Amino acid sequence: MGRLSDTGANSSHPISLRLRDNLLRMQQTFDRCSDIVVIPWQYGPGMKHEAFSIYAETFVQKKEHNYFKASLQDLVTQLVGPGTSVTPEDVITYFGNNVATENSAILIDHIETAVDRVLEGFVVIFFDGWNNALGYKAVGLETRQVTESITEPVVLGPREGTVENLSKNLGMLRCRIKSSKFKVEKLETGGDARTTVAFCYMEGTVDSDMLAEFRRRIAWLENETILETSYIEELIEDSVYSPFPQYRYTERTDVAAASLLNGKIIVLVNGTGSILICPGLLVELLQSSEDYYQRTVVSSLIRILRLIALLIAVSLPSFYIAFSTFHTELIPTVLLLAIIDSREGIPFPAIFEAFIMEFFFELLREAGIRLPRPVGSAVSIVGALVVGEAAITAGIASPIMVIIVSLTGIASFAIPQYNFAISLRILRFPLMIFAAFLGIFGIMIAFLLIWLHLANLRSLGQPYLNSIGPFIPRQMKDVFVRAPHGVLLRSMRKRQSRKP
Amino acid sequence: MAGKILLLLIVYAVIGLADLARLRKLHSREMAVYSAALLLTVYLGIDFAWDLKWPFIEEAAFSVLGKPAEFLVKILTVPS
Amino acid sequence: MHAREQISSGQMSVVFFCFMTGSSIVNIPGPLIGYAKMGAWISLALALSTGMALLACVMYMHRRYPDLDFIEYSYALVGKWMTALLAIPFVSFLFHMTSGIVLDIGLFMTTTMMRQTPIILFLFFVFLVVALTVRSGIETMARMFFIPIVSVIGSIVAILALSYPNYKPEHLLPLMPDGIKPIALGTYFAYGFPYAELVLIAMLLPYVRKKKQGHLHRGMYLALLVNGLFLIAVTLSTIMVFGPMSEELSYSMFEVARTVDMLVVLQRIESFVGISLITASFMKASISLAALNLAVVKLFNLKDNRILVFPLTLICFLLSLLQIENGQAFWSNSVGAIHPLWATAAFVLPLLIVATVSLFRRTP
Repeated sequence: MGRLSDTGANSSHPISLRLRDNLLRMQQTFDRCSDIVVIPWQYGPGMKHEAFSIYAETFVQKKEHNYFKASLQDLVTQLVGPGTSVTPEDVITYFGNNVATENSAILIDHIETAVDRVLEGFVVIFFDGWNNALGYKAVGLETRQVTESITEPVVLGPREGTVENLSKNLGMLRCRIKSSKFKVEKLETGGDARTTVAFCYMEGTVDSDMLAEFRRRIAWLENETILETSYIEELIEDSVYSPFPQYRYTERTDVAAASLLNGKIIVLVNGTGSILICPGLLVELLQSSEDYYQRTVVSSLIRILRLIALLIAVSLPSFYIAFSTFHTELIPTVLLLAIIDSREGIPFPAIFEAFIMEFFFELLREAGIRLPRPVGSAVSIVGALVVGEAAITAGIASPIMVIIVSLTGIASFAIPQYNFAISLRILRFPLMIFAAFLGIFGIMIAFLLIWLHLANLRSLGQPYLNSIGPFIPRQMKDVFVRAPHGVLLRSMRKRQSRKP
Repeated sequence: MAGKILLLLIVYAVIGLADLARLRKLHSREMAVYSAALLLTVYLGIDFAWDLKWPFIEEAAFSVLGKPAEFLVKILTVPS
Repeated sequence: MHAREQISSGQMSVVFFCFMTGSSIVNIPGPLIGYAKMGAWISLALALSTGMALLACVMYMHRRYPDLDFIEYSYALVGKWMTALLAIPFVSFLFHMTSGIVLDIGLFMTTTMMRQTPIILFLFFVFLVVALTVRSGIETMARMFFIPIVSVIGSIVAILALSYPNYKPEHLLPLMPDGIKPIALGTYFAYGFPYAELVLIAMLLPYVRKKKQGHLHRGMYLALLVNGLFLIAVTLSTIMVFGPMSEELSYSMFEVARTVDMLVVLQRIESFVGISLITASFMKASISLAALNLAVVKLFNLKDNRILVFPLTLICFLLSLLQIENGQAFWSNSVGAIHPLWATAAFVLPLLIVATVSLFRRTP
């Protein structure tokens, strides 16, 4: 058929030679879709020949409307003389033979394909007497501009965030990695949404077993309705019920490019800007792109700070409960006096106090996300007043509890990966329960259970604890500290030269 | 005593739940050893719940090795 | 069956180190000082050398039969019935060990940090975590143990350093006031606990990846040496801090941590030491249960080596409970006097028998 042709997969009705039939069929399919318009045309000697174009007026740009005119112009300039002498035979000869057109057209030969193309934003033109139709790509919906990602701001570094359009995102990535080893594979998902999914990797750097496993899993997506990358995450995960995320998200193109160069596979979905990075290991959940744009000593210290923040975010309330309930004799005297002093007159035991305050804090957090901007400042005032002052004055909570809850909250905000931070929020509560029942022994048991779960967890077949589980000194240069770029780049080059 | 029996029943229930999926696929030999181990636990469980002081490993070891051990310790101890 | 899980030789050395450090860091040197007085560290050094000899034996057998564990090469060398005979003390001692280690954790918690909690709770939760850990397999265990053991060693070293102001070196003398007998007694006990127990690592050695066997030998001896030095350091530290009083103390490292009182805030840090001790014991208990599980599986030639974990754990749990019914003093005496002989009968003698038979057979 040729370069221009486009045959659909499940088609069974070829386009007929009679314009009436085609028009009837298209109108039946798009019955009650008032945003799909049909415009009849007439052309040729004496304006006797008929045609019509059909398109979705909502997302075809206005100035592209007249594709019919453009196609006639192509004919005129390339083949025949004046426009009034165009005949259907000319049309068939011209377009049926892969000639150059102003806006590259495709040939469609089945009704179902025509329907699909209209829904994708093509202008489809039917000619009387021809059993093919012409389709021009004309999508022109308003999309968001490329701005900085809201959830991943940096002080120093690129501010290019992803947009909702898949092609634009792929374009931005291709600009960063100008290599033919950067492979992009597209996939059409099923259901009624039929979103395009693309996954990318660097050939030669990515582990081939991991890639094969990924392909095996991604094949499950063929018939599913996928609206967002998080759907994909759940469908190809190793452990759906684990509180720990096994993949990372990013909305920044530099992070995506860096992870590609490190041998990861990234997944993009048309219609959303979140990029999924597979696999995601535990040590990477503490890394932020900013680490690589600051000096090495600074970055290393900040990483250690983040690690401490992680421990605080998970276990500070539990330690407080354990120490104040079970092991008061183990707190240094000066601190003990301060705690007892502030806990004077509180009616509840430490565990209830902690649960109430933590619950308030979680409510505040959720409320803060959903608030419209004008009301936003009111919430912070209300939060500070209610959770802070009033609770202390009423005697429900002690000042030290408020300090602990706020410290925990702040610490959880210091963790760069958002989905990791929210799973830590979940882990806090069972830890508090263990601490309330068995004190510091309970905390230890809970930590051992969490650690056991982490040791068992796999992300796309890779052990989750990869750099710190089997302790590989070579990989330590990017875990707790960030070695200078000279060291990091040298090892990357060595890795690439080792692979065949 | 009732508390101890309750605890044991809970533990058995938990083990049953955890192993249920695997138990169905077992061959006869594994099933035999599993049942033998469970019978041992029942023996020990009864011993524990009713304070019966039935003999088991420790007592056996004592009866075999008790005397030589005492002897060894005695000759090496210096009266102080 | 070994092809499924493989750990590296470095990981095996770490696992071995966790095992040796495990409960010895809790109990040593307490009762040892009671037996050997100020020469306890000499006893430890002597026991370390017997440990080295035993390790050499185990590694020799491993080199000859890299794919087989103790039960399997015993089958091959001395036949089915003899192995079954040797297995009776072997398996029974493994039961005793596992239940003993967890019981030690429970006793430690109820004597020092949480006196009012009934011991059954500690036993239950520790056994639960140990069973789940062993059920996840050796590979997961090896991956799990690295960070905890580093923190355990770190906290112990920190305590040893921080109690520097309390050290009185004059406590180290007089060295041998009563002659050689107390040192011999101490060596007897130190050999029984922990050095004779190292034979059970023979059950886990086949899991090491084939490629770097040379590193394995070096790693294991190094682990044993470092462990020995560690224990000697702890003993010296205890003697220097407490002097003649040390024989009264049962959990020496904990007591030493108690004495640390620097600045205003660095006091009462014994809770962290307590947690480290429990973590180390947990690791030893997991390894010991894993060895027990493997031994039973290989004895009866079963295919699924995860199914028996829960029943075996339950047996150990009930065993611990039954032991403590008789009272703590009885238990300490039992561990003390009988332990070395039982270890010899259960571990050392079978190993020596099997090794001698293998010496006489030229072909492996």
